[in-house]
Amino acid sequence: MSVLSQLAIHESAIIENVGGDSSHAMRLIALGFTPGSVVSAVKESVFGGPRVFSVHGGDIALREFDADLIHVRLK
Amino acid sequence: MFGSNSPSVVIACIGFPNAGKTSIFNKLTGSHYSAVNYPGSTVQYNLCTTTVNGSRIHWIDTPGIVTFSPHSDDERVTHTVLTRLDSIVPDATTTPNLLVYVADAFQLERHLMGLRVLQTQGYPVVLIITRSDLIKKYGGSIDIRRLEHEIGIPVYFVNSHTGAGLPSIDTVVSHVPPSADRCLIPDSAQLWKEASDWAISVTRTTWVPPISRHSLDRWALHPRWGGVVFILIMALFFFVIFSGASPAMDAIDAAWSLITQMLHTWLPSGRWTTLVVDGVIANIGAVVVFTPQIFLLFLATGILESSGYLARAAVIVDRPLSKLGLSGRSFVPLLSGSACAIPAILATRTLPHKTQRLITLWMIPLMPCSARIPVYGLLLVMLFHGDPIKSAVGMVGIYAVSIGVAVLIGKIVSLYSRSAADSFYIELPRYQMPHWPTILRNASRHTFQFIKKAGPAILVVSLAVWGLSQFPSVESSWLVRLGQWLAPLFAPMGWDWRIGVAILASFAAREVFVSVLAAMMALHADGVPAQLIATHLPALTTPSILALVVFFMISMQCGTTIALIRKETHSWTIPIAMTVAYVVLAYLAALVVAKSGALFGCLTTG
Repeated sequence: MSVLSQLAIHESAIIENVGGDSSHAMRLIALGFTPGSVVSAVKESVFGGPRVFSVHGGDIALREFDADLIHVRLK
Repeated sequence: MFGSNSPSVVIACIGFPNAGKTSIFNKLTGSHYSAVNYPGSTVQYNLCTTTVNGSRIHWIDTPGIVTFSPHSDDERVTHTVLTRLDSIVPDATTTPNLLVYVADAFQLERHLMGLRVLQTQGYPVVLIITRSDLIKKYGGSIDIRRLEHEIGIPVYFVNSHTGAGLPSIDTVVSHVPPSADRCLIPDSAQLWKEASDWAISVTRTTWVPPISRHSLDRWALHPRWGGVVFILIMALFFFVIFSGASPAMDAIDAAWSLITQMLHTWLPSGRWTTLVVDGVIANIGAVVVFTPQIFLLFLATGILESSGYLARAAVIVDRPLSKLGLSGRSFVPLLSGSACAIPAILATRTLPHKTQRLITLWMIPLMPCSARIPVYGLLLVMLFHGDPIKSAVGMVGIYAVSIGVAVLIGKIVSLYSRSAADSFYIELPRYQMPHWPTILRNASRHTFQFIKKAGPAILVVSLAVWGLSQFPSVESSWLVRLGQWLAPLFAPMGWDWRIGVAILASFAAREVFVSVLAAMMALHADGVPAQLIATHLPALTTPSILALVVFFMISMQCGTTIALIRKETHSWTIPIAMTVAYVVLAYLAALVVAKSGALFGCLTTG
């Protein structure tokens, strides 16, 4: 199992679970990073900042800190 | 259904950020709402009261939220509306009688999750899905009747621009259940997970074209060019604000001088004419002259926001801001701060961490707000004698140094505050053409609020200065005495006593500096229009003028800002510490600039 931040650009994966403290995990889930859904990395970061991921049809930018909390299984 | 003694009915509009909630609220209520302060704080929400079949119905718009466990001050407002409504609307029940849940058609799966969580908690909900026009345009299909059947609530598919498909107020009210039992279970990861499975299952027959990733992002979020695009857009932003406003500002200025001159010829000359014309009318002009610039600032910010670029800009600046313990979320407050600290401080409510909010609050008063622009304008005229190119370069320099100072202070505050945020996430909304009616209305409203806030302060100070300058006699007035008594304080910077008086007055509001100088010039040089102050002032050396620029850059001189920071932080310590620190720092910096400038001058000439 790997984490979302390891996803290469245009690569897709299935979300396994979301770590971190419970309220933060709930926030990431509510944003659309729900276990079982397909996520893909769509944009490289600008100046090493947040990267953009696509999930449930929406684009969401995440810092590495948050992307590290999302455990995924590569497709 | 609603007797006169029973609690009034409250319908709340709720949804994720960028769902198109506010434009639905505007359309539903016909924009006849007013912004109301949440009791005990400055958090505002929109409230509209209508009467349907003799019953009073309150409509509340709420800030967009991600979860129902609040995280920032504006999310807390939404949470209060949902769970302790009676603390906001006294004659209401504890929870809203009906929720109008707004979801973006392009984000249906994600947005329906929130709807499901609310439904599980027992809230009666009506669903409005926005952007029907775009779904049709891109060939998507959403079967509304089927959704209605699956979810079991009324569903409307609405074109947010034209309002087509929107139910009437009466129809929405007819969905209010006679009574409802709410089981206010807190939301949890499990609840959201279940909501996600449910959302996927109810939307399985809908097809939404995947157009969220626009080709514009190839540039806007390009690993290298993204930064260049950002700088270009920001440059354009400020260019439009300054160059776009100047014709209107010149026109207002000319009209006002004409009016005051005409009044001077018509009215008998005397003390009371000076009071009315130079004291009241001229100072109202000093406020009115800013309105084009402030209006454009709010308009440009509104365009950036509703086009979808602001979220991208937040992503671009996230990395640099992380060095200050901040995140991209602080970008909007800081950008607003370059218009006016007041909306900027209000915008910090969206920041989820106390520390981030505190650092941002410390930085906001240092941003080059529009109240400083007339002061800088006057000082640049004095420096460059009206050369437009040199003045423009000077203004850019002032902006750059101001932002540099703000960053430095932000860094210092972040070093002394415990742990900053590591997390940052932001939804990137689809790019879209700005919705002009909404943007124009918001810009006018903000401009009007600015005048309402700054106007009375400027008027009172100007009248006080006028009074002090008239009694006991014009020649040896209290103002002259005060100025001469304080002269030693300003002498090291080479500032004349009149400048000292103007600085003193500018502590009520910075722009007063210009009008007070104008008023004093009018006293001593009989009817001099404001734009001639520069030429009539006693000669100031270049280092003295630069010292004034630096003083205005740093000093905390806005009573409204101090009062608002007190309200927002619920503490006196922070605003007092900020005021003392920035005034002392401004004085010392001005002293250093004046002294080192003078030294440099001696070295180069001698």
